[in-house]
Amino acid sequence: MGDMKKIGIKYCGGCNPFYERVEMIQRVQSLLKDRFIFSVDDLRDSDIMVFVSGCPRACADKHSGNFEASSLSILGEDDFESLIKRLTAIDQECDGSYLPG
Amino acid sequence: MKRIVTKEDYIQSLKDLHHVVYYNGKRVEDVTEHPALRPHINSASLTYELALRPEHEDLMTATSHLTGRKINRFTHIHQSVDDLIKKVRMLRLIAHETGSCFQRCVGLDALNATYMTTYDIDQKYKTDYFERFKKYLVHVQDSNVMLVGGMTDVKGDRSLPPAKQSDPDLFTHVVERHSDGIVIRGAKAHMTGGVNSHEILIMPTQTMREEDKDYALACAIPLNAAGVVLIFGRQTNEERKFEEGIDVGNPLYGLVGGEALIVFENVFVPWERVFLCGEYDMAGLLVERFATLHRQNYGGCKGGVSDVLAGATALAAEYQGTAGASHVKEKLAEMIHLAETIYSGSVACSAMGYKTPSGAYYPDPLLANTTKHNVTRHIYEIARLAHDIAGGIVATMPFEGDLKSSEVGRYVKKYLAGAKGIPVEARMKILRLIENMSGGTALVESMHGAGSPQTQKVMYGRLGNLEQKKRWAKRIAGIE
Repeated sequence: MGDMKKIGIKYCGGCNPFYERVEMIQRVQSLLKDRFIFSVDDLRDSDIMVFVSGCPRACADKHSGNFEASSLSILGEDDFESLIKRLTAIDQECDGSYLPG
Repeated sequence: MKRIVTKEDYIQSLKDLHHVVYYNGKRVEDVTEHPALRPHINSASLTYELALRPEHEDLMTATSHLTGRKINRFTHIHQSVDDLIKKVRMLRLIAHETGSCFQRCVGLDALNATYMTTYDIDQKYKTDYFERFKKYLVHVQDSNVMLVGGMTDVKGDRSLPPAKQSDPDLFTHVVERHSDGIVIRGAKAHMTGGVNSHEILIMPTQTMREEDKDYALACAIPLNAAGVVLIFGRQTNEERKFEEGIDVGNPLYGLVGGEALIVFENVFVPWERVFLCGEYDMAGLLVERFATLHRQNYGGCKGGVSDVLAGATALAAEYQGTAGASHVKEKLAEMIHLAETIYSGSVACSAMGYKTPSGAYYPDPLLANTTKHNVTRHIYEIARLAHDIAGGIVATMPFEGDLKSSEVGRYVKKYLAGAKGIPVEARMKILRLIENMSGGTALVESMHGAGSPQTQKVMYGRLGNLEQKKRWAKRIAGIE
């Protein structure tokens, strides 16, 4: 197994979220904790950035220019499954491991 | 002062302040332990707590343009339109957590207004207020203290200017000038967050004339300075705060901000904390800027508390089985419409904001006044709709003590039952929250906070551009 990639989590400010952003990311972390390192405080050297916005206004995406890492954008609860799939695919590309669905 | 970072730091800082606070005639030795004051402290604490959470960092923090350090947004001078908009969004966010006022925005607006205006005073009078103020601002940003925005004088006979009052202290004024500072006397009313703040940034309350120049005063005072006395203002249902449980309504965060009458009895202010002293022709500019900056807020904070009230009202409807009724849905839609209307005003005046000569950004004054004016009307309508949907039970409900009574508790449980599966306790809690958020003090604050409705109409007269509107009408009507 290769070194675990670091995922940086950048939230929007949360002025009026349509869903529980933090709880959703916690679920993602729980599912993928053996495959990735997640960080919300230190985003330096992140391999992948996940921009988590509370609504379709996508305010977190405004920070994407500050990071060189490839990025994924989350706008709502509907993006949970696709986020898991994308991260799983990234991990499989790296080391060919099979992740539970 | 040690930098205040966490809620615990904030509470300890209030314990260490030893300011002179009175509640119902008695001296309060520790505001953090007083049941009537603690909810307001809890509310203000969130301005510290939320700034530490990554999921709110973008709104709750900023970078100081003076030091480059990360600071709490409540100590930030707006550097862009984006900053103005983030301020409003921050206020809405915090309101979702408290369902009540969290007080600290007044100090933020006082900082911004004084920053802009000291720059202009220096340009005209070659004073050094701006440099002095920037040093003070660095202290505020680095220590992360909470400020009271000290504008409103008690005013006495409103038909007379400050210098003609029968008691000269009815407007705060300079009584002595010395080589090392000034001595002031007077009182400021309706001081939001007064008893749980660290300092007050005093500003003049209205435009001044030459004879009023001792009243043209802006300065910063620690609230534990000798001669400062704070008297807490009684709110609607004040005694509920001494209870616990359901009947309190909003047990953690209280009701509105918690305002105080702050008295200055010959208080010494060193010159490094004086930012306007006698330059009477600049007082009105400072007043107008503070008022605009503060009126900008109300769609954010009142939009946020209206969100909570709409949610509570929707729950009340669900709990009593009326949520499916078309008129209930329509009224909830109207509550949302009104909340978003006032919010959109706050966003609009921020988006149309501009840079002042000082470099700080300032919201559009006409739109800010329109926003506040809408709040003075819409909050009452939002509350009315909440009462309409929730029903008369909001005003007649038995005590929690009755619910828990071994003699009548069974009657309360049986006869306050609503929809199936909903505990009566839950129904009572949400109805008490509606009562807390929609009566008395909450409505009056929405009416008069940041300026009474007539003050917004004065600004419409000044900024409404009626002469140009008449020219357009004449041109279209073909009148020469």
